[in-house]
Amino acid sequence: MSTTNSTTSSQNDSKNKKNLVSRLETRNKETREQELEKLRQLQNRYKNQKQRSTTNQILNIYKTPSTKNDQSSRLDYLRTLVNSSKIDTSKSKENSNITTNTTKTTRTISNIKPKIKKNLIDHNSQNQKKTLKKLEKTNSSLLLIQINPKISNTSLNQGHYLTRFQSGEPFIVDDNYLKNSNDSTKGMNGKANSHFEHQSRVKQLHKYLDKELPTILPSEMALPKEMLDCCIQDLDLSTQILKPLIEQHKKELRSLESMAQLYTNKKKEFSATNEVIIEERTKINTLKLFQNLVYRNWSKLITNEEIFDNSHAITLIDYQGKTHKEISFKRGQLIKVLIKKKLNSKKKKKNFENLQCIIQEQTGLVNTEHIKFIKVNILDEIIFENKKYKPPIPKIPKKINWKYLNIFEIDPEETARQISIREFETFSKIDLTELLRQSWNKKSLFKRAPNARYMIKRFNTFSFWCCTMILQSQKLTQRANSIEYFITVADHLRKFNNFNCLMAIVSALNSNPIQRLKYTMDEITEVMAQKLLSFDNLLSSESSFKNYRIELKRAYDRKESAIPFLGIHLTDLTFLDETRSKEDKSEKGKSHKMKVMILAIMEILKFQTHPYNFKAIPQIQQYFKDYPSLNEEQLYQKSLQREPRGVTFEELD
Amino acid sequence: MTSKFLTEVQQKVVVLGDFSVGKSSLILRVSKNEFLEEQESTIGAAFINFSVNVDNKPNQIQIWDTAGQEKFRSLTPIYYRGAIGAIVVYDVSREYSFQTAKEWVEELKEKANPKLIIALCANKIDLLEEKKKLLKEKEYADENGLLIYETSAKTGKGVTEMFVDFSKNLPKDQGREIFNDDFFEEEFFNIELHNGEKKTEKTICC
Repeated sequence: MSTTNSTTSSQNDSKNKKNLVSRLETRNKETREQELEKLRQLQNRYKNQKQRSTTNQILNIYKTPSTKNDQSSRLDYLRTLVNSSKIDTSKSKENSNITTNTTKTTRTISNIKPKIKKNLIDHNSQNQKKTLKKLEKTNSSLLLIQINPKISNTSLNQGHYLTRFQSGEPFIVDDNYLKNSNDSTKGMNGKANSHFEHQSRVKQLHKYLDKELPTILPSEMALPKEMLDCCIQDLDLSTQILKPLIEQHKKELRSLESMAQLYTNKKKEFSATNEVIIEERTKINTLKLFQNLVYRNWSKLITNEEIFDNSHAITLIDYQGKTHKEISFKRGQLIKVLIKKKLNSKKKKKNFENLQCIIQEQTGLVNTEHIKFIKVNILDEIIFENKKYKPPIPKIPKKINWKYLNIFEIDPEETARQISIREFETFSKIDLTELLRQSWNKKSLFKRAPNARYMIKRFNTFSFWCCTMILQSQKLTQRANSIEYFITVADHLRKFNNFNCLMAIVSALNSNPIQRLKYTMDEITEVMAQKLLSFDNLLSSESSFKNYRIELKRAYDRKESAIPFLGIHLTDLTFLDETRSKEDKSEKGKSHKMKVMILAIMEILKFQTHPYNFKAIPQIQQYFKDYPSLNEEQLYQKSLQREPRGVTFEELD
Repeated sequence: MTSKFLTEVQQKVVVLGDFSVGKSSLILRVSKNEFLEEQESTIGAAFINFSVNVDNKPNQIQIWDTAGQEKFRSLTPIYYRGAIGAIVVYDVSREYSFQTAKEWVEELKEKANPKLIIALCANKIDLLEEKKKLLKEKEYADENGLLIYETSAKTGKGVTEMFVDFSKNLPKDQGREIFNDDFFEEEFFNIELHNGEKKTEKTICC
């Protein structure tokens, strides 16, 4: 291929060019042949893409490694370009003249302006001629920071990056990740996948979506503006240094994005990744550039060793070695973002069935593996975003910024959410050792169980607080309304599996000072009364909390978050502790006892890994920090005030 | 007629008292002697139910323990609601526990079911010297119309006798009738002791 091309071109061209070509060919045949082989491979790869002929060739100029020997091969590419587009000989001469000029300079220059590239993509030969003219005129300096999949990993904010670096978690996305994601999705479709794996994976995916927008685009897609801005952000090696440079050369960078699409090679040979071309005659590694820029700003020279200590250079280090990522994955992400927008706008389930067709329409991809990959990823994310991972929109009351918040103005569902967030904090702090040896009950071991005791205290104060809120109002109807409000809150708590607070409310409503208010309890509607009865059933003591235990188990099987009611489990633990301690004190017996105890404790603590997915409203959280309430006796006297003994209904108001 | 199809009367009895008085060990002593010897491996709901024959009729008592939940102060009204009898336990060796027992009795009389039958149980009698004969407590019981029992859970003296006697004193009209199916054999309690060996089930492949 190459030889025939060269011969035909030589016949057509003028003598000067003939000489040049012959010279170059003699210099280094071997390198050129290798390059051409690679070219063929590339072309085979992109057979399906429509605009491969010109863009590929242009890009190959950039792809060639920067060693001195490869100058000739670059020239060859330029020449083949000229041949294919059938430009007049005179202009090709000029072009060759330019190239010869470059050969005089020690290194090659990339003189092609972005506008030209765009035009080349349009397949118009006339435009090409014009652009070639421009080539002659413009010898202005160009900033070319090559777009590399690796750089995109540095797009993360530096602060975020640093913290993660300090915590010692290497941020590496490699092929294993992709494989895992595929496997797990299969699991999701077929058998039940484990909750934790799923969650972690979704978290990871969200990380990508939030902080790492894709840089590389499929050929035929039009870019929205936001994407482009993100792409520019991707380019900065360290945000402080390169910002001014990038602002100057925004346009060039944007056009480069369209060029970078063809960087789909996995091999490192092709990627001239570390090249950064800033001006004529200068062509530096990224590392050197970084060093120079640092020198310009702070007038410090940084050696390679120092870079590892310097915080600014961490991004660079990551850029160089730590991160590597497949471009197909990148591309898939971008397509995901675009398709998601379409899907969200329509919000139809049918779209999921025809996803494959949509992807093909959107991207023009033909490769089935790519499409499968994208499809799987999209399904994964969209399903989770809509159902589980996205917290529900909080219902914020109107007077939230007032000094004295009135609870009965807050939506009961929202209060249930906020309470359960607050309660989960205390619950999640309970340690395994706190529940051994009945240490929550014994004075000598109080120090061992601070969190468990705090939770018990909160339980009591919460239920007393409910009583005080009900007994606050003097009018009978208001009291009835407040009782109904708490019943609705309890209903929502039941939904969220917050059994601890449910039990507290139920105990508050069943406590003496409120149960003895007969007239107010008669005012409650039947629906609410039935709800209360159902709660009593759920938490009834029959056959050692049969109903409650079944519900708790069901919640765990569904992988829902829940807060178990501590008291029941504490009785279990006390009985276990009492029985086993007296039986046998041999080592076997002791170890066996510990096994049993820990199994019982894990019944409670296994829910600590499933936090609630609600948004916290700080004002309401502040309100629920403490539950100001009356004493037990004070409450009883208050209820006596509200409805004295032996009072008829007419005397009350 | 097998015992499966007999109807029983279920009556709720609550055991109250300060912490580390020995409530749970009392109940365990009863349940151990009666039921738990055979099925030692599973600690289930069984230890709470206690059946006694009164006039040739099986009476089932549901004994309710608040062990481990003494700190849940707001919960206690739930426990003694709907109960027919209550046993207030106190520790003989500690005088403070008797005061708390008094408080319990007062609260029960004020706020609980007025027909509630209350018993005072003096536990840990094996620690007591023989000279003291619990005169104060007996006076208090007579004033308030309480039954009084002396037990020690450690030696097992007078424990089962107390429960049997107490169940005879309960009114037979109250309580609810239940059908004695395999109701209590179901395992709702998730703790299972494997004795370190897991049973492996053999499966047959095609």
